[in-house]
Amino acid sequence: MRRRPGIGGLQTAAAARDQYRLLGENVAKLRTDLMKEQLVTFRSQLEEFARKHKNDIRKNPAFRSQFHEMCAKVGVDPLASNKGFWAELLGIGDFYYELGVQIVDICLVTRPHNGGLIKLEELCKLLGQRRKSAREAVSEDDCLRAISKLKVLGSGFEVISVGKSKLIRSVPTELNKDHNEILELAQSQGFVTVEEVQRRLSWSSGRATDALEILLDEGLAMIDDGHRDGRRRYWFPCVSSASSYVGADTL
Amino acid sequence: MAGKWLPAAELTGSGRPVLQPSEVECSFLSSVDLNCEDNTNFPLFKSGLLILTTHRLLWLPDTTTAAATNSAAAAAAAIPLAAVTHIFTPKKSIKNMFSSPKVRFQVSVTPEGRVAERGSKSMVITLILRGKSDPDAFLGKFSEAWRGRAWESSGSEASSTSNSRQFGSTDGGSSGGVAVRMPVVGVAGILRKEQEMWESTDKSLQEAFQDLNALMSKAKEMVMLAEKMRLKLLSGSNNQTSATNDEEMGSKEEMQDWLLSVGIASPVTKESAGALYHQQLSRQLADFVKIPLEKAGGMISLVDIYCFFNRARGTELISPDDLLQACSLWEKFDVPVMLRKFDSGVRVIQNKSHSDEEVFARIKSLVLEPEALRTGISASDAAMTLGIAPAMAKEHLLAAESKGLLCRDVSPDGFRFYINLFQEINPDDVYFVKGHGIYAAWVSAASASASR
Amino acid sequence: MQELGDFKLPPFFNYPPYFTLQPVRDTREKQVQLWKDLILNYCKTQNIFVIGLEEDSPLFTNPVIERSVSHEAREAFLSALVSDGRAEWMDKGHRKCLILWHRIQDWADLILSFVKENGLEDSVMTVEEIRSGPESQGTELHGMDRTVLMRALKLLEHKGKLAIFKGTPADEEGVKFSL
Repeated sequence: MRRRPGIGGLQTAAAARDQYRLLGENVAKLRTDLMKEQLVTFRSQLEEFARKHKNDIRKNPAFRSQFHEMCAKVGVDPLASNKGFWAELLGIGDFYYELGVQIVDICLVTRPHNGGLIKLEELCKLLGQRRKSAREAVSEDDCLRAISKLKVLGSGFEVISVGKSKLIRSVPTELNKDHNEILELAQSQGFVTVEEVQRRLSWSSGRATDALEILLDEGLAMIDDGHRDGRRRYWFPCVSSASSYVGADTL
Repeated sequence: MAGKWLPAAELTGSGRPVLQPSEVECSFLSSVDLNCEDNTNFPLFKSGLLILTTHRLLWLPDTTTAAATNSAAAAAAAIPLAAVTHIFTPKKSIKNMFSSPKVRFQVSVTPEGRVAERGSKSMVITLILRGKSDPDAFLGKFSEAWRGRAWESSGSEASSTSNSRQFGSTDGGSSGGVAVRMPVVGVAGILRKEQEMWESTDKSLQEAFQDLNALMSKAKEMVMLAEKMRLKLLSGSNNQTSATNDEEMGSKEEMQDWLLSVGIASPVTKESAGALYHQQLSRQLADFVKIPLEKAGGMISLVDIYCFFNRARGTELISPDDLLQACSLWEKFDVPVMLRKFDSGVRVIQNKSHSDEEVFARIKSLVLEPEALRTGISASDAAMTLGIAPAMAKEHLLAAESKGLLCRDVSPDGFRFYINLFQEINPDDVYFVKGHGIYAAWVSAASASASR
Repeated sequence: MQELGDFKLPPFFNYPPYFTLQPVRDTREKQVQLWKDLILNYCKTQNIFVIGLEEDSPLFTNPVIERSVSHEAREAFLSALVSDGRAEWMDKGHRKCLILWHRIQDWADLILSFVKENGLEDSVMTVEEIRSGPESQGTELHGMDRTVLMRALKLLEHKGKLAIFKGTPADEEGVKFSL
C-alpha cells in the first residue's frame, strides 16, 4: 500500500497510514507468534543437546572447536551474549569471557617486555600456569576465540600471522607489511641486523632502517650494540622462544 | 548414451555411487533434470537424484523408473568439478519466481563435446530443481566444493585403491554408518576433515557429532527466519509509522531479544532500544562505572571496564559484545557517561562533562611551558597533568595533533609532542620571527638550551 | 642562527618535529613546503646538484638536537620537488636526485646572457670552457654540473641558438653559438 507524498491527499494518506499500520500490526503479530514458537522449539532442542553433550563441550577442545566452526558456518555466534541460549544452556559463556579477562591481564603484564605483541604459544603457556587449579584445559583455539571477542572492545586486540606463527597484539599500533616481514625474519634467531634485512628481503638500506626504527620506537624491538663485529642487532622479544618474563610466577 | 558427453558414474550393486578415495558426499537433491541448451544432441537427464561431492556432481536416474527403461547403470553420469569453469549467479526475476529454480554452470569440453578437465571448448549445463529444495543453499555448497578443489590434494592418493575409503560400496550401507547419514538440506556439508575426525574418535563422540549436526540444522533454520524478519525490521522503520508506535516498538524489542537468544548479531537501530537485557545492563553499567571512572581521572578504556565489571561479577559474566551494546545505549538514556571511539580505534568511557575543548586547553598550556617548548611532552607527562592513564592521554594527544594543535617528534627517545610551530612560520621569509607570540617563545626557549 | 658551511640555517632547523614526517595533512603540507625551500636554497648556495638519499647529508641531520630525517621522509620531500619540476630522479630506485635549483630554462637564459656579455655571439667554445673557463669565473655557470649544462645546451640547440658538435680531441664537445 503506497502513501502518496505531497500536500495534496493528506487525508487519504492518513487513512492509508492507519490501514497500513493495522495490517502491519496483524502481520507483525502473526510473525511474532510464529517466531516465539520456533524459539521454543529451538530452545528445547538445545536443552536436549546440552543435557547429553554439555560435558563433551567442556572437556573436549576438539569437539568444542568443531562446535564453534559449525556455528560460524551456520551464522550464529554462541559467544555474542551472555544472555543467549548457548551461553545459558551450554555454559560456555563464562569460560570464554573469563578467559578474555585473563588474556587482557597477561598482555598488560608482559607489555613492558614485548611492547604489546606476544606469541600465541607464549600466551597459552602463561595462561596454563595461571589456571593451574582450573578444571578445563585451554587450547590455542579457545584463546583465539576469546581474543576475537575482545576485538570489539577496541584497544587493538588482534591476532596477527607472522610466517607460520600467530602473534597476539594488544595495543592499537598498526603494523604494516614491512614490519610484518621483519618480524618473520626475526623468528629464527630472535634478532635481525640491517644488513640481513637488506640482503634477505632485497630492500634498500633506507627502507630497512626506517622500518626497524619504527619498531624500536613502538617498543617492539630492543637494540644490542655489544658485538665485536660492530653490527647493531635488533632484538624482538615478542618472537623469541625464551619466556623469562619477570613476574610470570606471580601472575 | 551418457558416456558420449559425460563420464559415466560407477554404481554399486545397490545403486549407490562408487566414490573415489577421499571423495565425500556433501549434499543431495531429488527430482533434478540435467540438460544442456547449447547441444541439441545432449540427452535429457530427467528427474534424477543429484549428488554433490567434494570431487564431482553425480546424476543418478530415479530407481523406480530405471528398471522400466532398463538403462539405469549406464545412464548414471558424473561431472568432475575440475571441469567446471564458471558457476552463474541466478538472476531473480518475476519470470522465474514461479518456475522451478535453475542452477547453471559452465564446463570445459573437448572439441567433440565431451566433458573433460582441460577441454578447449566449453558448454553450459543447467540443473532444474523440481523437487523440494533450497536452491541458494545448494548453490552455496556447490560453490564451496568447487572452490575447495579437494581433487587436487588427493591426486597423489588416487593411486592407492584403499577399499576402506570407499564408503558404502559393498556393505549395503549400514556399517559405513557415518557416510550414509546424509546431512539434511540446510546445513553445511560434511567435509573430509570432519569425516576423518568422526572416524577416529570413539563411538560416543560420533553420536555427539551427529547430534551437533542436527542441532546446527535447526540453528540454520532460525538464521534464515531471522534474516527475513530483520529485513522487515529495518525496512519497516520509516518515519510515519514507527517512532511513537508502542506496539511496533514492543515487537522490535522482542525481536532483539529473540536474536539475542539465538545468537545472531543485530544492530542497535535508531528506533529500537535494543534487547531488554541490554537496556537493563546499560543502566547497571552507568552506575558501576562511576567509581572506576573517577579513580581514572574521567576517562577509562572499555577493555578495563570489561575486566573490572566481570571480576566484580564473578559468575554470569558479560560478553564483550554485551558491554559494547549496553554502553552504546547510553546515548538514548539520560546518564552522565558516554562511550567514545578515537581514530585509533580505542574505545573509552568518559564523563559527559569531560569535554575535548577543556582538555585541549590544558594540553596547550602544558606544551607552551619553557621546558616543554624545548623538549616536548610525552604521553606520561600529559597523563600526570591531566590525571588520567598514559594510554588515554596518548589518545588525547593524537586528537590534538589531528586538530593541528600539536606536532609529533618520533625518535629513539620515544614519541613526543610539541606545539605546532609550522603554522607560525612565514614560508616567504623563513628567517623572520615575530617579536612576540608562540614562535618567539619557542626560539628563546630553544636557544636557552643551545647556548649550554 | 646555526650555519652549515656558510649556509645560514633557519630557526626551525632546531625544531625536532621538523625531522619527523607529519601525519596530519595540513601540517605536513607546511612541513614539506619548508623542506622544499630549504633544499633548493642549500643546494644553490653550496652549488650542489645531486642528492643521494642513502648518503649522510648534513642537510638531513641535525647533531645539535640529535635528529635525522628518515629515508621515507627524504623521499617524500624530494618527490615534492620532482612534482614541482625543480628536481628529477636519476634512477628508478629513487636513490639519486638531480636538484634543479635553477630550472633548465633558467640555465639556458644564463648561458645566453653569458654569451652576450662576453661578446661570444658567433664564437665557438668547448663545453668545458663554458663551465670552467676564465670567462665563467664569478658567474653562476662556473662549476655547474655537466649533465645540467648539456641539457641547457640541448634546449638552446633545439631553439636554434647554437649547435653542438664533437671536436678534436675526439671526446671534447664543443658549441657554436649563433644568436
